[in-house]
Amino acid sequence: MTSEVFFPSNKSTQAQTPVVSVCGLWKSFPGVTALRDVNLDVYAGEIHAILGENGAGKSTLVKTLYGVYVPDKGDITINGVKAVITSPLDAMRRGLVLVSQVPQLIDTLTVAENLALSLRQFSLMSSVKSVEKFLLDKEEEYGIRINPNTEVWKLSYTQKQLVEVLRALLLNATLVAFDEATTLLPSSEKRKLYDFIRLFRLKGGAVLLITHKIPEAMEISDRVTVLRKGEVVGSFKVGEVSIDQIRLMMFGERFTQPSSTGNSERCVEGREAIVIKDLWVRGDYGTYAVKGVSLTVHRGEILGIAGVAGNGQLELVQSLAGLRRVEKGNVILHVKDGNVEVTNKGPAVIRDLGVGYIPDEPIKTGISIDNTIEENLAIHPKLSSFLINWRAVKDLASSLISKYNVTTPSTTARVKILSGGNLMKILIARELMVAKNVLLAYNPTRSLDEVSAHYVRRLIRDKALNEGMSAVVVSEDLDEVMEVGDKIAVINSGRLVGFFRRGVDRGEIERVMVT
Amino acid sequence: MVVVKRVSAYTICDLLRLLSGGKLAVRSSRACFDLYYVGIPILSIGIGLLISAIIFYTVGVPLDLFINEIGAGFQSYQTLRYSVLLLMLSVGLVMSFKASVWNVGAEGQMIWGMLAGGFVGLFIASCAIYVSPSELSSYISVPGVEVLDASPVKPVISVLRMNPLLGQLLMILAAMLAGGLWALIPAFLKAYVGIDEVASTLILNYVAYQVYNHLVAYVMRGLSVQARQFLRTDRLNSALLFESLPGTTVTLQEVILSLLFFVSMLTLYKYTSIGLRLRVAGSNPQLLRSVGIDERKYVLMAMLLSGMLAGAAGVSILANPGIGKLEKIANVVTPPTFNLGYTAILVSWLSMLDLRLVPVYAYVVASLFQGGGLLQSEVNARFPGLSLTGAALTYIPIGSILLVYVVLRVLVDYSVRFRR
Amino acid sequence: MLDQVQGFVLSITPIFTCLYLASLGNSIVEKSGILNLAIDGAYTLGTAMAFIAVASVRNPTLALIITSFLIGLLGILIAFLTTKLPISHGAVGLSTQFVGYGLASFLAYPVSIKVRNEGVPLNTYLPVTEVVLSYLIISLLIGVITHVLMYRSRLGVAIRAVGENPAVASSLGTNVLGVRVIAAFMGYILIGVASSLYILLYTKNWQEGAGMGYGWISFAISISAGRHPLVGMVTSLIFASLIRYAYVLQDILISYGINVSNYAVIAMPFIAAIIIPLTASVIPQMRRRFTPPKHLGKIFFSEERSV
Repeated sequence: MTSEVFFPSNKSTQAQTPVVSVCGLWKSFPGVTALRDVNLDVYAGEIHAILGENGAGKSTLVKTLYGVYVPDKGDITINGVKAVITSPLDAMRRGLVLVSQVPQLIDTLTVAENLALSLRQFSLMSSVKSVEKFLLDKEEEYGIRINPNTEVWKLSYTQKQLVEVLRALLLNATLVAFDEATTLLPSSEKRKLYDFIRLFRLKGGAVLLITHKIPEAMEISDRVTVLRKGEVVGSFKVGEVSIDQIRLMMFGERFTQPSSTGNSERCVEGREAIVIKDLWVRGDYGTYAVKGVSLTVHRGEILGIAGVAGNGQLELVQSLAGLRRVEKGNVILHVKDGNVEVTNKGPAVIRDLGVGYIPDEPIKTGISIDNTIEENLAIHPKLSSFLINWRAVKDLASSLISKYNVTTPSTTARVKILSGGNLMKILIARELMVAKNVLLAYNPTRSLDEVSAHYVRRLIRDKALNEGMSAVVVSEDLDEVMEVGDKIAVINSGRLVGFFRRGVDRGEIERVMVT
Repeated sequence: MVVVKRVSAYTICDLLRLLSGGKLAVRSSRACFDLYYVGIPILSIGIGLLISAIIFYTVGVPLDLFINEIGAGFQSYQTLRYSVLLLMLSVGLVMSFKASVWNVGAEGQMIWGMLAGGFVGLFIASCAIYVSPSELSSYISVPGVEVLDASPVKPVISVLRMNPLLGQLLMILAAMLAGGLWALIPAFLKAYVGIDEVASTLILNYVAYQVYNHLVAYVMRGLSVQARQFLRTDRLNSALLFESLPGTTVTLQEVILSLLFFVSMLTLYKYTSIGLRLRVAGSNPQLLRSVGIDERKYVLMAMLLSGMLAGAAGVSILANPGIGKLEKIANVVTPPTFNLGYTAILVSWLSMLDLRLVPVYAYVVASLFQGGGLLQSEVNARFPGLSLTGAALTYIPIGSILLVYVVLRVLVDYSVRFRR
Repeated sequence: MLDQVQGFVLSITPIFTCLYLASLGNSIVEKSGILNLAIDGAYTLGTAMAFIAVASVRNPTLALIITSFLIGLLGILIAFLTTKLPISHGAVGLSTQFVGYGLASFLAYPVSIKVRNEGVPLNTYLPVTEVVLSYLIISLLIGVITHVLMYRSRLGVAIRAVGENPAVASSLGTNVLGVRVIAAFMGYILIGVASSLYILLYTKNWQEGAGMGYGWISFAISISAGRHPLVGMVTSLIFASLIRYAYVLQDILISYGINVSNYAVIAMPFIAAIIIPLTASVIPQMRRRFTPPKHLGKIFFSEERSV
């Protein structure tokens, strides 16, 4: 501390004492060890990227730093002083700020009210009006234009992230961690955020950039640390190692070239399977999230829907699954026995037609973690009758466990002890089995490792090819949409803004996603 | 203090440090079976009773008297009756609690069971009529007829109108129907309007008590002099009363009913899709919706099942030869249900919502319940100055055992760790 | 005309204050995300304490202060248990309710015998216009202050934030436990004031079971008003009139040949407590505005996994 006071501009002194230093950190959750003996030093004036595939422990690490999780073992040192961070509030007081992928803002409150929660200079009794005035001045200074009196749910995703950045700036943080905060932003918006990050570095702040995208880490950061299965497998300056070496570190021996799966265009039967006409669906706050979407999916065809998160794709899939009211328009499913109008018929009717559904929040709506694997299968009306034959369910569970290579102690284990990937496999296994005619999926391979993700995408493609299943696969990961879809539609602000065939150039899709 | 999640076991040392003000960290884990299913309930009962004993001790109830009377509850012949009633009520509540439907309205549902069963018993399966004093003697020998009021001015007799077994069966069915229907009101409010069922079931208990009073005072009021005087119904025709098992106050019919309910609920729960769906409705109702099952129907189902069983328990109280009639409720703290509807919540929670454990804890809690009653009469006889009421003696132990249980469960479900 | 209004105000104020303030307390507690199922236990315990206090200190205002403070402490305990431990709000509330019922009988019954046998004077509030009006004004003022606090101040923002989403509020830098403890303390103090007034201004005596169920009525009032401090004034007035004028209503109905028993009169506010929230939530506009806090009654456990 004192050295900074005496030599405020001495770069070498700053470089010697890390802003944040993590030593021998361990953290486990029931069923998984998320962090194993992690060591990390972050210095002032440095952008430090943490790379790792999904489930490598990146988020756990940064949430531990931010006081959300308490570590099992290990020390955190801030500016050379050992620190026990007990809560996010505590972390903020020590100069650490976290910007997450999902904006950590309360939707029903206004921007000013949200930021008022962070700004300690205002007392508990001070009025919201005074916070609004303060914010207007500050926004002017940083060149961010968001009305502080707007409720957060009315903001776009990019605007919400800007509010988060504004928060970090206002708090005079010494270290800001971006937890996949830029991953979902379109390229142009991403650049804007990078500018803020560079500005922050210039002022002597330290930045932790958590991401699973190698190019992103290479583009902006000074230093990269790679995590795999909760362990640090390498830490180096950008430019010291090649991208292939990083890939090897991230994925280990399992690493295979993702482009090896067939890129060929398939010829699809002419019969229509899903016909959507001028669909209008409201979002959670009463405004239209889907604005007149029309599309057709043929038998055996897979439609991939790409788009920046929060552009109506979630509401679209939910309304197709019968879980959200359709205000206007129709959905017609053509199954073997004929055409069925399923608009607002409810999930029971839709699922009865042989529709599988992989929802957006698996733990909330797709699987019950307090129940066993067997119960999570038997709960589907297509997989058990009034009297449940538990022996048959057990056989089914065993066969799926071996088919999908699920790691579990038994078929009667509660799902909550499984890791995120294994849990997801149970859900996918069940839904692919019941998807006789149609599969609806939202981010179907989230939290799966690369190999399993490719396997699942191939299963979906095989089922479409061999059994004539049609699918609507929405993913926030453009690579996934390009790998799985026969056709690709891009959704932007609730409207379909582009249709592409398989094998289209990535840049072309990105362009319509943003504008 | 910090809340976290992790796997290792929690120790007595940790508890001591918690008590001495150390920093507490809570983490999620599942302790071993024995500790979980036996340790927590027994420990809660122990600590809860200790707290109650201390509370009562402060006003001068000697500790040894407390211990003796509670201990006597475990051997009392009355205990068996309470165990059977609590078993019947609690298996129903467990079914509903498993679905995360917190039915706290068993009291009201029992009341409706009493009313419907009583109505069938008093006005359909039998009836009470005035006869002229001169004819009274000629009726005495007629089978199925008994004298309710032998007053020389207006004698009243009760006439059996059907086979008593059929009559009892009708009484039970009517009670179950009424209890179930009453339970469906808060169920609808929860499922379709989103009104919290804990509040609405409790509020409906108060409504049920007043409906009961109204019906007993006006509609079902008896003909006999005592009935007119004390606002109560006539006694049930003794042929319709349930049959006491020799040497006890428990009746054959309620034993059969509770065993029947126990076995059928166990089967329903383990081997049918209804049981599975109730379970999943409790852990993740959105999953039900997503796979195309209307989760709201299972809220209704959970309430219906527990309400029907509570109705049966209500009529079992009424048809006990020791009771046999409905009397106006003087004060809502002493309803004719003996507050068993609330006590059954205790049994369900102590059983960790595991049906197989319900009989055990039904017996344990019945013993405490009976012990509390013994304590009250003993205290009132020996220390008349203390003025301990029944409400104090039932609610304080129930409340403190439950509170200790709730906290202990968290301490074991999430093992506790401490940090500087 | 003026006399009639004054008469109405005077006759309705005692029951109005002891419903409105409790419902206001409930609104604050529930806005912070704590499902307030201990309210009836706290209310019943509060009436018992106020009775004991006024019988011993002989000063109604002092009795009211003591009672409210103690009930406020109970609120802190509940906030602590439900926030610090991943514990079911329903379970804590219900157990506390039973303890409250039991303690109320246990503590106040001996005192009530003593009061009756020894003729201890109960210095409750006199039903004079100044006292009654001042309590009306005070409670309306508290309502307005609460409204400003909840919707205009940073504390109110924090209370609503932890009720909506405690995890996010926490990562924004709110001390969830601290805010809930403040909210519960304030809320339970109001419940304490209300239950004291039940004895000191409304019934002026205690018998076993006094106040039981009135906590639930206040709960229903608060829900029917969408937990809004100002709307609560209206719903409280409806319930207060219903209770105060139930017997008048009974007379009117009887004069039209509709026989209504006393039991129906007693049950009326409870029936209203079911029906009025029902109508409030059936009307679509009200339903949207009156949605409960998103995280009401949910366990707050910061280490919950997402996948």
